[in-house]
Amino acid sequence: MIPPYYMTVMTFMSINILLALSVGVLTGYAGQVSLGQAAFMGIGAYTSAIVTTKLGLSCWLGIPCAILMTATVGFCLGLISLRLKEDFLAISTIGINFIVVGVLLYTPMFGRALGIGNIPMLTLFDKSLTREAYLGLCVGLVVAVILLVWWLQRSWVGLAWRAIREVQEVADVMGVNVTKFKIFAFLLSTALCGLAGSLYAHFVLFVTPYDFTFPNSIFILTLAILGGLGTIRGPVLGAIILTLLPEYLRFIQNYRNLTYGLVLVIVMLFQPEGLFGDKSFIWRRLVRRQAR
Amino acid sequence: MGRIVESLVTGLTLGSLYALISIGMTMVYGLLKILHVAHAAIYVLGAYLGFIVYAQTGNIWLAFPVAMVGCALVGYLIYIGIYQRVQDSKPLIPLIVSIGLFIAMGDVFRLIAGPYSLSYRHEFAFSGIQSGLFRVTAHQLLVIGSAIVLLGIVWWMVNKTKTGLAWKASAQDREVAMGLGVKVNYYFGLNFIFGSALAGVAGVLVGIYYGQVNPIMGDIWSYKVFVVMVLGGLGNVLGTVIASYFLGLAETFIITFFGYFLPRDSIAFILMILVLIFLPSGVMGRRQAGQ
Repeated sequence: MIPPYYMTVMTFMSINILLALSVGVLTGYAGQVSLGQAAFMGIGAYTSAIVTTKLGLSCWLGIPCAILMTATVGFCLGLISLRLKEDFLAISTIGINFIVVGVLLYTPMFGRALGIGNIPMLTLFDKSLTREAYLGLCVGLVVAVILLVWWLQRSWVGLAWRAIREVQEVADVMGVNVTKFKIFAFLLSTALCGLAGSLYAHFVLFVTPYDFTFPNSIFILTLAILGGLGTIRGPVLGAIILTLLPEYLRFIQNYRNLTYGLVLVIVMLFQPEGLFGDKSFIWRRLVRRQAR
Repeated sequence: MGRIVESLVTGLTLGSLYALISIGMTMVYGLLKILHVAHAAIYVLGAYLGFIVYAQTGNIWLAFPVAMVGCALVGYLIYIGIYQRVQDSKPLIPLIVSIGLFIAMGDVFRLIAGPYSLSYRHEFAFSGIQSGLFRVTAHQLLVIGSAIVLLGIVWWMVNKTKTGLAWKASAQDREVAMGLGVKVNYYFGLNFIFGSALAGVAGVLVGIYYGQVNPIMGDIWSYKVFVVMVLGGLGNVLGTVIASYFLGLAETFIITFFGYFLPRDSIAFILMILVLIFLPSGVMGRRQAGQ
């Protein structure tokens, strides 16, 4: 049997993979920047928490409600993104992150700074899921999401996203429905964050506003950037590395921000494609070896 | 009445600090089109340098030049070492580099100076203006006074010197300016030196005004400066100054008369997003940097 410690780490790894993929879809494929992913994760987690505690509904309703809620928010953000581009979109999403944390901190319904506790575990036939079963659920969802993203990126949707990413005006002229595909990218990305947030809430069993602040958004961005944007393997491997690294190198825990900051600077300066992007040093090595 | 005067002075003090910090960032945006988030880390550096000098020598006036020189040096190194390499790539890349630099520098301050606040006890011989209705502290007068002097220098630099002309020219069209013989990279470097020195002064002033320095003092400010920049019309120096005072006064008055219904920062960001969506060129309209 797997020891509980590894199970916890792997559950967090699954959640991080989902978050990294949300950036991978939005920034990697559709070329839109969001620096507020932690806020959407927070909205998902709080929706799940409220549905299952305050409203007292079935614990299985938490996840779909969280996805629905964050997708709605993503739709609105998509509408905003039609007016704002690049840097401005990025700083608006930073703003959204601060606003969401502010609302969570100041509204009595969300438990203010204490957050919401006593979130139920998921139950099946009146029995709580074991940690193994929960990990199985998370891994299953990760696999499903990877397949979904893989299928989308090789379909027309992926082609349209890449066209928008390269030059939006050209894509528009060539007959790509920019509005539709941009909104869809935001919707999918925030829904993935919502799913991750909901899984987080039902695993940790309590949520506070401090779990979803702006530095967490930067962490999520780092996951995807380290691995390499524009691919699926990039965000997935990036999330695996950055979840395991602090576990093996304990001292990194004390230098979290320094590590993430330097990773961002160094990767952007020397390997803008990330560690495993198509043109990156490591990936070219691997591909060449295979070709031989 | 007393409450209004006190709010007015507090708002002006806050606005002066916003203006001193955001001018550097606005000028960088006007020239390089880079959102220089790490600028807020330079301001924290200024606060720490000022604190160290003051703690060692006990002379508050020595803190200002040291902070200015230190910050100018670091700002220049950031430009030479990092931004110059990425200034021609997609806008996302410099932004991410800048954010990375900002959080890494914040951690460096925490590791060197410790995660706690260091208190900055400085009392001036002159204790401020006291009347039956209100009181204005010497610290507030110092902040407002320095802001007036420094903003005057900025105005003079931008409008009356050759450097200002070169900044305006390179902001309008870098290639044409280069073709006409403007040493663009030299003036960009000068811009970083100048903006960072102002941020250094602002750091010392914030330290004196709030009586403490801590490693996370830059966090809120760095994003608040975005709000100021957006309100002022990005890259517009005059607009930024007006927006700084507007935000400082608006925040103070809203809090004095309506209390905290949301954190102060959330109010500012709601304002920013609304302006971005409905008035994308800022409240001051579309103008080039330095005008």
